[in-house]
Amino acid sequence: MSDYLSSENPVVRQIEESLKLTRGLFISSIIIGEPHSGKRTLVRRIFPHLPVVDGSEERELMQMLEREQELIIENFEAIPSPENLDLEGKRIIAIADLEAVPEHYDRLFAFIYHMPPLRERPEDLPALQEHFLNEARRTMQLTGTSDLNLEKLDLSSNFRSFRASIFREALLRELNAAELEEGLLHYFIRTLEGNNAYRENLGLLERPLLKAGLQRYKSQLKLAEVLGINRNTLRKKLHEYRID
Amino acid sequence: MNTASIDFRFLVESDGSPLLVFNQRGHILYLNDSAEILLGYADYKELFQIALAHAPKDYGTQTVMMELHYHQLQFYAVTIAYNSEEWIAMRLYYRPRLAEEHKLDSSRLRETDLNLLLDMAIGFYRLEHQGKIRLMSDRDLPTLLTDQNNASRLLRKALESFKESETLDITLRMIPGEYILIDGQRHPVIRLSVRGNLRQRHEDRAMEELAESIGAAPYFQEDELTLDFPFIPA
Repeated sequence: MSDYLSSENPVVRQIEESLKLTRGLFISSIIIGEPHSGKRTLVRRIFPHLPVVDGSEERELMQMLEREQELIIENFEAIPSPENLDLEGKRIIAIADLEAVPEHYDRLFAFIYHMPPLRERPEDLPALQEHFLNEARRTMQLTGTSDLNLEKLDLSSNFRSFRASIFREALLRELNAAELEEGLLHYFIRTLEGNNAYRENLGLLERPLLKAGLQRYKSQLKLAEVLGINRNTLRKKLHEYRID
Repeated sequence: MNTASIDFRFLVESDGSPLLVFNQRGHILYLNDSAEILLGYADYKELFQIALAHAPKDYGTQTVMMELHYHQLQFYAVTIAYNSEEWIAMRLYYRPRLAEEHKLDSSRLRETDLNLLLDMAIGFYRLEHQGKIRLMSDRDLPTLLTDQNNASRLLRKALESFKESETLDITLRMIPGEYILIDGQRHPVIRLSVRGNLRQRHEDRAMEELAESIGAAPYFQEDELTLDFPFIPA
């Protein structure tokens, strides 16, 4: 996420409030949660000037722990023997892509926060969708204004998949005939094979054509007329593609 | 030197063992300083009943070995005395505490607002648990020196031990007249009390260790947890 959006989720808000309170304290806290659930963005927003070290860089981590009184440690789960670290007397904010808390974390950290995944934060989705949609329009110079269907968007990898699915959906809604043809060309170059490829690939055109037609005209009679084909032919095609 | 010039009342009043004198109806006729502290935790009617139950058959004194616990105040014996029908006296003997003097690593002490740490612990509790919290806290408590990380861990565990509780009553205040000894110096007590209807005990040992590391004294009861923090001025 390039810009920070305040969360409406009560858990995330409480984590944010608690982390803000630690700005005046020398205690160690950690936020754990699924990858790409917004942990880093939140921490960097609250502590923009704190030095950051990656837990997978063990040597650099040790040097910085020696030198710094306050530190953000990313990828804490990558540290080989975290139980040997001395975090006492420092302001440490650690981040780990973990869903369960290892036992020894209890000794290291005053507070262990669990960042909820995006799928458990439905109140955040509309604002995020608008944010990413605007970003997609800006980045790809899209002009469409239609909203996306939230149910179709991918939350499996939190912000990463959500953002990617919005970009993809936004782009797909604005492709013109030439761009569609270009896309199909690359697809066929990549996949064309077998001995029945003509029939198999015809569906790439017919299926969306029939689905969109039914969605738009609601009636098979009207759709057959618009497509300029016989009603029985249309019914046969709908059956063949299992379109209701 | 004769003993006429000795102020025995002064000695009794400043004695470390609580002394109470009741009339025949159980009303208090006299209590020393130590007994005033005891009555912050114990019901005087209950003490009077104990005095009656263990009084000597005739005028005189009788000392009885018995365990009495009132929050962190622990006694191992009582003496009951009377030589008149008008009054009966009760003296309680504190159980000596082992290792009651603490030593602290001064390099880890930082100026701390204990209310702030408590607010964080309450915020954290609310993230994970449903217990309804009622907080009575002296917001004007002065800052003190403590190890912030271990104090925070201790507070977190203290509240988490009530994670199954439906309600939590939390109080934080300075306790006049009580002290914690650290490196030979007496420090006033700031007391956190947490009371709920269900307390888990499996972290009591960990809490004892954390409390020891910051010079605090924990007292565990069935439905209540008390943490006495030393007020080390910043």
